[in-house]
Amino acid sequence: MMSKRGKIDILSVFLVATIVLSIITTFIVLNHINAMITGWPTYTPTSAGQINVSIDSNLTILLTNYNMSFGTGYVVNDKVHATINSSSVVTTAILQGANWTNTSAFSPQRFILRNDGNVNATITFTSSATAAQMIGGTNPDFKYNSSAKDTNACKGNLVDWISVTGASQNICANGGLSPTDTKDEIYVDVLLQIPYDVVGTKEAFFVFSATAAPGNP
Amino acid sequence: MNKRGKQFIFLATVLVFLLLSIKNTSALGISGTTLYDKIDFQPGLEKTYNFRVGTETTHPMNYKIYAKEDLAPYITTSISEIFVDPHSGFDFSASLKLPDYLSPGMHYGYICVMETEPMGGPGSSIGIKTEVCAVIQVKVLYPGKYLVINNFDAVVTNRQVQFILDVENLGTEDIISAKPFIDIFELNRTEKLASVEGQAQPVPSNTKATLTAFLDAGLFNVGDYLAKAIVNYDGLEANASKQFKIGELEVRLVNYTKEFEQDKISPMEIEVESLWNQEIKNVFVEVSISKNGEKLPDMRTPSETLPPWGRTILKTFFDTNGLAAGDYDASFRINYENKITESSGTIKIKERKLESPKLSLSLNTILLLIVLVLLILLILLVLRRKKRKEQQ
Repeated sequence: MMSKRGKIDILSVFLVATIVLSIITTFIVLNHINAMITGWPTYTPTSAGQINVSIDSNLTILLTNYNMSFGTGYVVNDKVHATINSSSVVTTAILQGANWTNTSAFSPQRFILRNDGNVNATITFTSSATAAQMIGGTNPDFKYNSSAKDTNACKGNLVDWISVTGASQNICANGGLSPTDTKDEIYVDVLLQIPYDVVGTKEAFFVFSATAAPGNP
Repeated sequence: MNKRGKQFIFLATVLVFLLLSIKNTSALGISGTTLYDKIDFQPGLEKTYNFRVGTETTHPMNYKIYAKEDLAPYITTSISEIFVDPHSGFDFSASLKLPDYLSPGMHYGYICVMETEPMGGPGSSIGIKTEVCAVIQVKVLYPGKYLVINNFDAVVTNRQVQFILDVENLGTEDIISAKPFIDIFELNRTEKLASVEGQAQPVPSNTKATLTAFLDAGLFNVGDYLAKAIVNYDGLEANASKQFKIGELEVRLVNYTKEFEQDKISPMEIEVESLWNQEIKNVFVEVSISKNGEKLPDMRTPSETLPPWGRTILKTFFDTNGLAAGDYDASFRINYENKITESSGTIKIKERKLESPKLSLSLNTILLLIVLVLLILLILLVLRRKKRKEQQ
């Protein structure tokens, strides 16, 4: 029979090991991403004192969160629909959790896209479903919005709450997402208008597409 | 706390660290000598592109490599699908072989790599896939002369407006002379105010040029204007238009109510004037009143529309209940079209006078009273005489 002290010691070792594992994982992942965005510099000495280096173009898109879950809940009695969205921005038009009763934690995480390459990028997306296909019922809605996480990220090329069509739609148009650290991150939020007459699990997926833009960043 | 409780907290802490160590990130990258290749069309042109793909996922992933857009039939990739371990990458190549003919204009081919399984496990309302694409752009010239205006800009300084037209000859023949003619209109009006023209210059086939023209801004009032450009090139025309402003959009404070009485709610009228040649919507004023640094609650007028060059009176109400008589500082913030004009001044709160009831009698009433008094005197006189007679 192990003593109380012994059990605590084992748990302490387990905790420390977990912390160390977490740090090592973070280090490896960051190191790997850095390696990935560096490209293939090739060094070709052609004469004494002369070094050539050619740096490839690189387009890397990093998605910090890929799992947006609104949890479970239902439309408040006597209301024709509920409106829930992942954004922390609450306005008269875009209410967070309006007419919605949560039966689990309501904490949908916003998608965060970052241009980790060295060229400007145009970001579009295609949804696997429209509002009618994903949610169904009477008068459903399924909207998205893109906004700057870094000040000036994708300035002038963002999109303000429009309905998802199922076709390719802009998130950051005109090669607007710069690879520059101070303006390379944007949020993508989703709004669902859920009618009173639907039940069940509703799912869709987005294909985020990053396309290299002409010219230098 | 008992032993079991401590163990529970300890295990919960361990679990939190374990959950934090699981990263909820995904990355996909493509690199190559160029990721946006611009090519002039040549029949049967062949070109090969080498790419490296880097991935960052939590689990092994299948990737699809494919071409899309209108040049897709002319692009082949060395692999079409690949299964890759997490934190790994792979190389592939894409070959372009252009046909003998493509219609004039721009053509695009996207070479893309896409995750085939959505990220985000069961319970995700919205899952995602990521795709990265390199682009090939092929330009096919139009037969003959074909000028396009890529950009039309108006750079306004104090004295002049410089019109800049970025043009490109997408035709197979050289343009000997391209000359810009620009007509100026007040915005939303049809009457032409002025015309200017720029220098003619040649634009060889498949080249770009910049055409310019100048307008004397001093001849115009401040406001919104529209420039319509026609570029005449060897008997053909290309058109573009551009809206521009001369001067600064401005609304100024003209006057406001300066005196208020103590212990009353009184209207405060604020007159503002537009110094712009177009209607300005949603104009409102925020008013701050303070005395010796002590600020009263802000007031705000409703929004109104100001006509071009017009004035309007915006009204709010000032509650002077409990305020001491004297002079107060007032600041006015006029809000319009994402701009604010600030002005300041003073207002005076006067002591409330206690009004004594005034006796206001009309002439008729006075005459009536005089008649009444005279009548009473007459009656008294008659009664007195009667009494004297009785005594005698």
